[in-house]
Amino acid sequence: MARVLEDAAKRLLGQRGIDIPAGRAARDPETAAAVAGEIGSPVVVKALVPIGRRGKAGAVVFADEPQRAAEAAERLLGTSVHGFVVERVLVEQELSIVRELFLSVSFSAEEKEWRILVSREGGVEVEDRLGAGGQLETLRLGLDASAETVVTPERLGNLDLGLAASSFAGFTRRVTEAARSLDALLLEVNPVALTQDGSLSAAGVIMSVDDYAMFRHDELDVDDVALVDGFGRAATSIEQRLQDELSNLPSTTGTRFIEFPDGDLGLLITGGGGSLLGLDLIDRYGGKPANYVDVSPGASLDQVKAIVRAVMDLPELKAIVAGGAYKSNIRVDYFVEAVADVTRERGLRKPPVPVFARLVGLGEERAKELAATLEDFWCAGEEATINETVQAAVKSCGVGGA
Amino acid sequence: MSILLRPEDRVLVQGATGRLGRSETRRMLRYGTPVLAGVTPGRGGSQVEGISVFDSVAEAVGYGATVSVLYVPAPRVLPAALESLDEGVRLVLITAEKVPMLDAAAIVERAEARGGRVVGPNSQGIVVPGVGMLGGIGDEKPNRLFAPGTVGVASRSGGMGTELCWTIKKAGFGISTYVSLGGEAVVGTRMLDAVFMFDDDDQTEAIVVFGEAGGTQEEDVAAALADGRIRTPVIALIVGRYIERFPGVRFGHTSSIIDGASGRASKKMEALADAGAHVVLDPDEIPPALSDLQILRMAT
Repeated sequence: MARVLEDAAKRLLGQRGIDIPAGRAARDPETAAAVAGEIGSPVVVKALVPIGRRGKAGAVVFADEPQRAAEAAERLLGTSVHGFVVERVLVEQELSIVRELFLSVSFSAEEKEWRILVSREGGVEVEDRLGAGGQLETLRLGLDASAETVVTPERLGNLDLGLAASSFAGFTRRVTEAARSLDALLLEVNPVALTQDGSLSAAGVIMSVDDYAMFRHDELDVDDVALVDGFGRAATSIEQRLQDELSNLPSTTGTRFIEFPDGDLGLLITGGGGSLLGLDLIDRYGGKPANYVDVSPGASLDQVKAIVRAVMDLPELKAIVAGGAYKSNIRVDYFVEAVADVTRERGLRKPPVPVFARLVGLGEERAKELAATLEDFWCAGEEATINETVQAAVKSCGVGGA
Repeated sequence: MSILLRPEDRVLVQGATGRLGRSETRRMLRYGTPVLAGVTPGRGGSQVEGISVFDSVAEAVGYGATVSVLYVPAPRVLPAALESLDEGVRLVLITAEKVPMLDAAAIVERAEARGGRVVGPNSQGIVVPGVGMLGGIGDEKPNRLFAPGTVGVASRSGGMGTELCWTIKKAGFGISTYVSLGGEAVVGTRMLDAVFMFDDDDQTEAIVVFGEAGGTQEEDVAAALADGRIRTPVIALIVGRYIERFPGVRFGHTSSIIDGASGRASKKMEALADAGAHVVLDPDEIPPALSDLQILRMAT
């Protein structure tokens, strides 16, 4: 899923009839001060990074005048919050909040329905309070059902909101319809701020949209969205280099590479299921995988080379295991050719570490021919199993056994 | 008899005139699949790989088509699938990757409403040796990978599903049907749906499933086994234990994300084993399991 940064998320909700605090994003302290000046009252300065718990990380700062807003922006911009570099901050009006409510709208893939969670216990550490017996109401909404039929003031009756129940029901319906129209499979408003004048505003918004649906959302700019991959941490330098290389190649969106800490066995085993099997087998034999990888169907030789470079850059690398299950959506000879090319590129006579490959599918004959010309490249076809190949690779890292 | 594709079915290919549609149609025909028609709006009256192309599914159905395979890009899958389901097509195979989740959900709901069945999205296909193949699995030499027999195979991973069918063949066994379920969280035919179909099928004597971390498909199979609702023996290979140390991270299939405590591969394996399934750790363990079950090897 793609995480929508808070300023864009709020803008999108604002366009759909939901009240949001006045404000906008700033890339520098001067703009932060200018925005605060426009607002004309105390503001909150928030780092625009695609993760939660920013308050605890000191990434949410109150500023009662423009100069303080500029200082807060100065402190936040360029710093790293949970690994993400703060390139922009959101400067918005601090609301006089009477009560903080909680609302979460999410799509359940298992049940094929929308789940709407509402609580009168919003704000920071909501999970803890809800866990401790705070009132949480769950509403289920069928795929095509109208929110009006399900989200009614009566259904919110248990929350004991009094007069606010009706407007919270309306707010919830609008947020639900917003989620639907945006392919926002997760849309959380926390807090839903009940202000002194009795209105409800989306003071805190977390929004994740189905990245498969991006083709139909022109209203989302590339700047508005962060694909939070890896461990919800920023990319490592190897991952970043690979991403940069891939961005210059066509059709690479299915290609993924995740570096694991402390591993020594590089993985070129691809396939959604095959790669997971590879990791499990390595672990079973006492090996330590150094990375996870997958490639887009029809990946080009250039893509495979980019991945091979990333694998060969892994710091503790002792061996590489490649291939896996029968492949029809990538040419398996590309694995060999890529290793050969990158080896040559780096001025090496042979690959930096031994490669153990089980290559079957498109291009398997050529794979064997090419592999025969390389030292330290052990290549088998159907005569070997994935199991045997992984065992051999793990053994060559100097550990483990069956 | 097998499942999903019957000898009397006639296949229409939506998007047959595109590059992928054309090459896959060729493979399906070569395998002996009764492909009857192609559908590409605006190209009605032309021919592709020797079959007639129509402008609409309605015309192809009028011509005799009963089953559809979609080779349309992800953004157009929803209207194309709904068109087929609304015309009474009984089985729709969706091969496209990256179909929006809400679209997939809408398609599955329409199938339920119309009494049709959907396999996919993101399915590599269905193989019924002796009847045909939906989707061009196995490239130019499918007979290398698939042999007729009595083992039903259902897999959340296309690549691994093919590998398992191949392992089964190399050990002298064969498949009744192979179904690639697709790797997304919302799919038209879930693992338990396939298992029930295999259980009801006279030709299937053992069921092999390939599952992964994420979602609840394997747990549903375990619950049905435990309740005595499945009598055919089930062999399960479930992957993704290593990634349990990284909850919330997407590896490969979107459906493999572990959400909190649920969806763990280890829990799935435990539930299946407790329910009486034979849980294996890699493909090599499947042939011995089939032997133990006294499944007959096929005469060569």
